Amino acid sequence: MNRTEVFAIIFRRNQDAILNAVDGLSHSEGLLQLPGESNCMNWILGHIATYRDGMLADIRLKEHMTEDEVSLYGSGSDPITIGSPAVDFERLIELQKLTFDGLYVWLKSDPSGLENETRSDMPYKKGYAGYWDSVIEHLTQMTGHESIHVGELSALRELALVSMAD
Amino acid sequence: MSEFGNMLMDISQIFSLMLARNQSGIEASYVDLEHGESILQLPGHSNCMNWVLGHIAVYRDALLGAIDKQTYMHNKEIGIYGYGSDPIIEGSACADLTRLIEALNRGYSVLHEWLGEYPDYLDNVTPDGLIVRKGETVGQHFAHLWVHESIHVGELSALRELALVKLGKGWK
Repeated sequence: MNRTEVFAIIFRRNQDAILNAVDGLSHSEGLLQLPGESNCMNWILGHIATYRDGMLADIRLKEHMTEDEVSLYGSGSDPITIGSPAVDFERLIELQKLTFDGLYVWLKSDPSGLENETRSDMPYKKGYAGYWDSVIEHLTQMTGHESIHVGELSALRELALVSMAD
Repeated sequence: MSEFGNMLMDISQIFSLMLARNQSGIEASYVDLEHGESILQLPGHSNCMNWVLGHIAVYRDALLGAIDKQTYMHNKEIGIYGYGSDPIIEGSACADLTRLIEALNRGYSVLHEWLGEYPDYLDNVTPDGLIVRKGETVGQHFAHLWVHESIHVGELSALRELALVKLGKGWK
């Protein structure tokens, strides 16, 4: 087993769970709020896409998010509620597919460069691009981060289904 | 920034870092909560915190079993928290929150120490007879169960928020 297989297994599982969570939902369901200070589905999807795009940046693969989109979903960004600026749900789903495809195809290609340094020329903050010393450390830190956010989607999907049944 | 200096990260270090992140998420979820709060229910068919913690503990046992270490969940507990088990609601048979925390902490300590000592073992064939067996090698088995664990850890944050709302407290 090599290290990229570990990441491929995790991204595959995450992606399946993401697509299951959004299946049949629309933009308004993505803004529903659970009790307390949890984030809504829209924010979580944008956050996952932002951090994936940061990984793509450090690997020097094609990035997919604009600076305006990234600004809404970075660490410490404001919660997204009804009326907040937010990326459309369909665009967020598209971003899940684009970023997953970029990372997964690369991981399955038995790539070299895992020990490469991360970028020092990012024009603006995008996830953790340029933060960790090496690509491998970036992937290690952020795949686990992603899985935990993926786990947050299941209760939000249940909330959406309850809302749609009312 | 690096936690690993100039060392090349191997698979055991990748797993170790993920385990530590999961354990931190688990520990943060139940701070200042009691058993009663772990049974609270979110809208729909989500599982409560008690079930999620017990489920993680059962699957940690599948990691421990794969490396021939002592497991911590009893057969009755495996029935309550295993794959496909019934939801836990108020009045259901379940383990006390403190018992689940104990099992999770013990499993974490053993796995954390082992990952630092036996990285070559990850290429061994995954043994039969586990509660769940994912992947032909121990490394593959670990990768599948790690992401499974992380996703369930993610479910805990909304359940903690629910508990804090019930208690009239904020998240931080």
